[in-house]
Amino acid sequence: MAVDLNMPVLIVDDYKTMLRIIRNLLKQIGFNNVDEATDGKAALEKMQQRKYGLVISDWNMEPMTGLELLKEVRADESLRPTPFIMITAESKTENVIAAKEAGVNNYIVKPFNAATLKTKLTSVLGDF
Amino acid sequence: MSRSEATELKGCIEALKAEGDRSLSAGELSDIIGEVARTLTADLGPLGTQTVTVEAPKGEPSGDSDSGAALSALTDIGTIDQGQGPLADLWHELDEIRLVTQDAAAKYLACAEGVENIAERPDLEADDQDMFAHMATNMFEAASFQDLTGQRLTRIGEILRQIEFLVASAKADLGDSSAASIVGTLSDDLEKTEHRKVEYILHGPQEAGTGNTQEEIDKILASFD
Repeated sequence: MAVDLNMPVLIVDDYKTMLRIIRNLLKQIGFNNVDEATDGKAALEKMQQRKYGLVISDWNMEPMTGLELLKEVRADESLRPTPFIMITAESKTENVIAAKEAGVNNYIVKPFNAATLKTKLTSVLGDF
Repeated sequence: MSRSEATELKGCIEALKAEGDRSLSAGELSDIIGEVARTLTADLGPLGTQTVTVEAPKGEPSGDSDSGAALSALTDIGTIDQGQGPLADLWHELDEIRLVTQDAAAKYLACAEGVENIAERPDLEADDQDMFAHMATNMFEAASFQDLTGQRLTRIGEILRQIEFLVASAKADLGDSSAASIVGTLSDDLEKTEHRKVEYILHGPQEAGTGNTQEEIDKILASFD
């Protein structure tokens, strides 16, 4: 089944520049229904109001990190199935393992390119 | 003993001699002794209450002036919250860099979005549309510099706070009570920052060779399958 490009996507980052970059790259791919949050707590509140087909999140944010957000999402029965991609400057092995063990679907290290984003989206959502 | 007092005592002794072998009464003798004692102690001044100041000869260090100079130098460094001194100046410069790069990134992204809009023009040839779209993509990717420099600036800010704590600790050790009163707070703040880093595995951007590349990360993820 082809991916619904109109599905709502939530992007989470405390840097507004990065939100704008990811939004534009998603738009180039075809995703135009994009919401934003500037930290994990705000993202969780949005997720409790609206069903998202994908979450793309940074790691280092306050008051709630991306790792905490991921754990909250996987702990919530209604949110658990949500595909979750981490996009972060955290590149140490222990970070990748912690995210994977917390249930991340894929992991992109900053700085990244559009081709990598598209590859990871395909890997998580399927072909589009 | 003053000249007049000496003269007075001498005159008293001479007068006694002139009287011959007359025996001195106890009262006369005590008066003379008392007069001598009084004149002698008057010259000595109040003993035990004077402060002795020893000035070190030029070129030789004294313990007190070393500590004073060190404390003065540390005080000149200032604190971030006081807004004065090189530490506060550095903090201010970091803030300026943050604002300038944020502004530059926003303008740059606006240009990138403009190029993207050109790529979507229906009157353009397909090849030209692709060219402008590719240009816009490259510009979007490049704009991530602001996120990475921002994280580095945050790290520099943390280091400045550590320096501020070390300076305050040194001043407290040298007897500065105002510094001693803030050392605890600075220490608590640093501890909270470090605790958060450990709890949430926050290392920040890594130099090439110290973190994993995307390819290496993909291998780690694949190892779980």
